[in-house]
Amino acid sequence: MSHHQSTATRHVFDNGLTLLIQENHFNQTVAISGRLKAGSMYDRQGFYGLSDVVANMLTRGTEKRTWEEIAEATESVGANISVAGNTETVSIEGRLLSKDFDRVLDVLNDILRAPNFPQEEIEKHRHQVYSWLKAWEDETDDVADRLLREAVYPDGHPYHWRVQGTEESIKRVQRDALVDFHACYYRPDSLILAIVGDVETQVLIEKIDAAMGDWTVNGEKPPFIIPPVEYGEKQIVVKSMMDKSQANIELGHKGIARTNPDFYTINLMNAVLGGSAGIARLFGRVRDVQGLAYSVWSSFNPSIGEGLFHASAGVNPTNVDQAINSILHEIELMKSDGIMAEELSDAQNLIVGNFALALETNRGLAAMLLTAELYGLGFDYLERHESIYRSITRAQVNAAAQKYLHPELCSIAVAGPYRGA
Amino acid sequence: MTKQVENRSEIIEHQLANGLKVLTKEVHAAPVASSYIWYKVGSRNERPGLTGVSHWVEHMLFKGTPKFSKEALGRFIEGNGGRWNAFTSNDYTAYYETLPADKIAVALALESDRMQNSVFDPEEVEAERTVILSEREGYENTPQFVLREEVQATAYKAHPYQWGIIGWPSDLKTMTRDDLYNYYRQRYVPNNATLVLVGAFDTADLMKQVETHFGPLTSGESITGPSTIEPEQRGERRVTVRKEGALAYVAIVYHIPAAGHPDFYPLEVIGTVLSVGKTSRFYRALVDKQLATSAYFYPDFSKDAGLAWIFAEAQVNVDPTTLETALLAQIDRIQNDTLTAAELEKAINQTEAHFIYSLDSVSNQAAQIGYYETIYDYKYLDTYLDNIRSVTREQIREAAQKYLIEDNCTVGYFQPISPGQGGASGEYAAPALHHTRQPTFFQT
Repeated sequence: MSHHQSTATRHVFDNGLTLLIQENHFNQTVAISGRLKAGSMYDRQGFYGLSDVVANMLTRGTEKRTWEEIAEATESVGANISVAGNTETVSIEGRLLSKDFDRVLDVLNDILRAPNFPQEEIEKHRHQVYSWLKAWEDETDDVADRLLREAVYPDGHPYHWRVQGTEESIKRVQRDALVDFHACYYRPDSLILAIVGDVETQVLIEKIDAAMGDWTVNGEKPPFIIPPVEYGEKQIVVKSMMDKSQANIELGHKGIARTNPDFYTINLMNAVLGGSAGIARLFGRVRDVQGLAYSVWSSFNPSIGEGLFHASAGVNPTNVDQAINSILHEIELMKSDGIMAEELSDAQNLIVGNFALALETNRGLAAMLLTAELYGLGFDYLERHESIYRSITRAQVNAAAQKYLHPELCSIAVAGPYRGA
Repeated sequence: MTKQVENRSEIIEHQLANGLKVLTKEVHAAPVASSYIWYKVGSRNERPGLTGVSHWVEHMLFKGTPKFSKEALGRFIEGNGGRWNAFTSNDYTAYYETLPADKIAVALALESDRMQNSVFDPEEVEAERTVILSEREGYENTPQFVLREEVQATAYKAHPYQWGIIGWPSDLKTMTRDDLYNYYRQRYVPNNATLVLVGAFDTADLMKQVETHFGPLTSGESITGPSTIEPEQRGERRVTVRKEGALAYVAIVYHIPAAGHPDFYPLEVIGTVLSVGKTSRFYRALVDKQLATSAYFYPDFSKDAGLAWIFAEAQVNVDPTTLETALLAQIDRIQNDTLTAAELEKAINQTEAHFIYSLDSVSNQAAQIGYYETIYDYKYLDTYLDNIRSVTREQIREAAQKYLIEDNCTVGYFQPISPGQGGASGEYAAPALHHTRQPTFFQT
């Protein structure tokens, strides 16, 4: 396996904006990926969804452009910029031909710094969110996921509520609050930009400086912390949706933060438990041997805070109880017996190999650079990746399984044509 | 226009004595390579009683051969750091592996073996029956699938495109192991397949390995598609699905010619003008006007005469009739008013840019080459952008007037009914419960 040889550049401007650059001249495209620390973790109780409205409003009008002019400026040359709110950050994704870089940068700078939140556009967006929320409540996998998050994280914790809030909380969002939120959290020292593709590093630094160098910081930088949580009591929650064909199961408990030193060990353990198709036990046993489900898998969602550990399956309603038992059984087995030597090497090869595949595209490389920066993994993370995984032993994986898997504490959520056992 | 577009000509065509066509393209941007093998078999080759057989066969090719057990298969690719999967459509079934470039021969060993040696163990067939039914039930949970299946079945009365790739439930419950195995043995032959290899390899070296692995396979009888031609539609058809749900959906479909017909290009430009981006006509007229959360138009690129699809999701409290009227008003505009020159130019710019973006990974390139080759001809890609660029505003109007008309259309509504009307539903804690895309979910 070849190590990744990074030739990336990291540049921090005087105003705190962090720029990560990797040149790739293989084709004339550029990927821009950004993370701005302005996610729903900063929403106040009762106003959940506000941060997401702000993110969505960026492309709906600025002091010098209407939403149509913003869209026209990028779409007319086949470029695009999209903005999405998440729990911790707002993500910005752009794709363009390198000849259009200046044009796209001008739009990006404008929407980040000078959105003007037109009242009419707020109302249009609000209406659309009502439709999304209603549609998600009709999707069994989405409902099961929501129920599990509500069971695992206490009310008031950022992982408890939907990034988009609820119909009631969105109804309360006023224009003034959007303006205030933007003024407080949209700041250069909260922004990481990764730009990968057909660009010249020095020229790019000068261009970003010319465009964004005068963006100033007001006040103290807000803390970027998700509070830790206790393992909660086991809960079982069902939403009966009797006109559906399939029931979705979500079960799990709190997981780990990305900065937890056991992250890599847990990632290997989960690849064996349920994080893949070819080598994972959940897929091999629950789907392939028992034929219970088309999809069954598990994941940790390590993030700034202790993200959710969960296992998921979509099954026929008559198989719900059996599937839950089978999944819990696999988690128990992992905890008690650990993994085999051959499973460890397979998981190492899988993760190391897929990392190399992910770095193939500009977008994939930008995502890795952002991850390394956001979680403080060090600028040499891409080079160290393989050796980190290769040095982990079976004993370490088995110890992590005992420490971080708690089948007896798994809450269980079911949504679908099911009324409980 | 760019390096990549010129790169098209770097595809090299090879033919093995047993009829296997091999298309290779060296790309040395990253140390990875991708293998896609495409079989010219899909739901269009099925008949009533065996609907869904092509897709089920695809699943069975993951169950092992005498040489590689199913566990070994999984370890073979993932244990070598690769990604793999397969997908089935109405016109094709494809299997892919993307690996570190020095491991690509692993894919050749695996695919050449399972082309003819998959076991179809009866117990595995039964275990997979419930998996396939579960896959179908998952789809049935979404209004989009339910409406699409209903509209397809209404728009076609004769051609096999009338049923979905997953198949009808009764066929999935009754199909036998021998039905599956015979279907497999007849159609999985080198002369019915195209192997596409893209990545950081030396072509001459790799072709020696291709010959070693695939050369010994025996060819079979040539496979023909369905002889049935869908009769001309002479009047609008309508269908409604009523089911518990949140939002209404509208689908409007029109019969259009098979891939390769010159009218496909103007129809594709219509799709871009109507539905790509926020400046598109559907976005302005439907999403921005709070009638739809999304709406799009696209023409099928298919071996036999396919459909142009309009599909829209209503915003909350918008009924399907209102949505249909607004969608059809946009079709009227395409038929009656000429596009502005700027609109056409933007559509062409968008198509060109998206074409270039689509080449960003070896996996995407191999997928694209095989897709066009299997449905029509990979050389289609050589002239594709030129053909899009030469579309005139008059051709767009003519195509709309020829195909997007009432007599040629099927309209489908998904009409949501409130939960409770279909059975008691509700959310509750369940203390009484007793107990004792498959996507990859590991982090980087």
